[in-house]
Amino acid sequence: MTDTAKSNALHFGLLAALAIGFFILPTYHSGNLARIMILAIYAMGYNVLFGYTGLLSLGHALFFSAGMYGLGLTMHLGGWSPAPAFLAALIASSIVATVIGFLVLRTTGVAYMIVTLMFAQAGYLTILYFGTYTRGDEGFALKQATRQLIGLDLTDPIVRYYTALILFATALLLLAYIIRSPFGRTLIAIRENEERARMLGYNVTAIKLKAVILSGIISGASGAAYALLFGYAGATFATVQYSILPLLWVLVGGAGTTTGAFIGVLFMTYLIDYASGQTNAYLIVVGVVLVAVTLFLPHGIMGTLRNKYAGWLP
Amino acid sequence: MLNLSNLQSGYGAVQVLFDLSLTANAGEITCIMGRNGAGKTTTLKTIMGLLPLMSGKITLNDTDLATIPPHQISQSGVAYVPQGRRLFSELTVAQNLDVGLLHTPNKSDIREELLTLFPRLRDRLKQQADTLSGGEQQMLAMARALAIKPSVLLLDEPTEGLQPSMIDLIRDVVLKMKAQNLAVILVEQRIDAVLSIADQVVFVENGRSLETTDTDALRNEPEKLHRYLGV
Repeated sequence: MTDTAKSNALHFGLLAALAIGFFILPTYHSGNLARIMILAIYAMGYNVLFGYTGLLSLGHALFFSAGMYGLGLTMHLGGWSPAPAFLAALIASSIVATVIGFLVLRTTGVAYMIVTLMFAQAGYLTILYFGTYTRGDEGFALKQATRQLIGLDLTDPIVRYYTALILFATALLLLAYIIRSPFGRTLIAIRENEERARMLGYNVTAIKLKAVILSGIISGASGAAYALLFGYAGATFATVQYSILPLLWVLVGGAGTTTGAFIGVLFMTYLIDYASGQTNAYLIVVGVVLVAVTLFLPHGIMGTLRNKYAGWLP
Repeated sequence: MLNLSNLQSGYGAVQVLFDLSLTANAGEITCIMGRNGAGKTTTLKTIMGLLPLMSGKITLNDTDLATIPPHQISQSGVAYVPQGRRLFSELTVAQNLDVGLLHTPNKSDIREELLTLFPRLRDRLKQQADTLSGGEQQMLAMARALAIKPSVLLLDEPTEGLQPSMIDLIRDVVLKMKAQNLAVILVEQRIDAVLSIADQVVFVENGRSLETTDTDALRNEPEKLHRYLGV
């Protein structure tokens, strides 16, 4: 069995398991999984930039919220239906990513992290400033009646679950395809040795800009899907916490692995869920577990599996 | 023909090259020799645009390399194999080659040419680059650089730390590149290697090119090696 066949088997196996999961798992867990799949799309978008290109951004909440408000505002204020609103979200996040990418790629390293953080904070403050429309911290709910797509009620748990699965599958297979493509190899080459890639004739800045835009669009799609499926858009999703979370998810799951984003979100969600059920000081438990994961699985769960047992893992 | 004229360059405020000139002709091997810190690697990095040119001219035939960004210098036909190889360690041998080949037409023909030139790489295609031996890594670094079908090849101490059989193999490849009419600029410390393959030697000291001499003449004037290199 070739590495590509194994990789395909892993991806389609995971998607098949998720497809039957709705009927096997209790309602609580299937509801959780829908949210996990949507947030995993966000983590995958982050992974394009951090895991594959080697750019550590602290401002991805800006792209997530660009998608969330791109869809939310067009539906809430403009009365648009979900499909064109979702398209508007993708356009909004791609425009934001292009402008931000153009500006932040003038910096590298720590400066890059700080500048991305600053732009995300500026985005958060912009949402608060235009509170008349965005309703600031309080946010706004999308009416159930508007969350209908081709006759399907997106608020129905089964429709929501399978819509999340379709979006997740699209993002996962797209990512797997991109990483195997010449463009994906170039991203890894830049991550491994930017100067060397430049010496081989690559316009590294232009390629990194494409990576920022791709990452921004995937993150924006996740934000839009979150607003659409869970019916809420709020400034909380533009805070620095939502820029740190994808970094944590990807680090725990395995940076530069296609399934690590999903594993990271799954692990973190259930860790917090379980720990908070046991004690009010659950953040201490979460912190200790994260330290342990960092110490014993320095490449994340999937990254360590790949390094130690299965070099073919994508 | 690559022509460097009165180069001044360095790292930030620290100037390393003060007045360096040389001409590398097609089908010739030009060796830059000098003591540690003389400016040999700095010269190669300046040619590639990795260090800012403070003054002077770098031209490849009629193209002014000083005015174009590094990735276009490479696209103009200048390949650089740095000291320490700098492979994409998480990619396999095949993927490292593919990254080098992306800008090249007739990829499969050139890939085949490279694997014929470095047959050992053919057996290692699926192996991750950082698991190769030092000699194999050097072969891969050279193969990847040659993938762009350059007209100028810059080699920074390609035999450093290699066993004798690997050194012979690298030497043979460099001679083949010369036979294919490439202009080769070689930074090398091993005098025997230089005398056996170079056509001309440029002695560099304190960032200045002091003398350019052809290798035949150098063989008859060993005192020059003592004067410039202390050997």
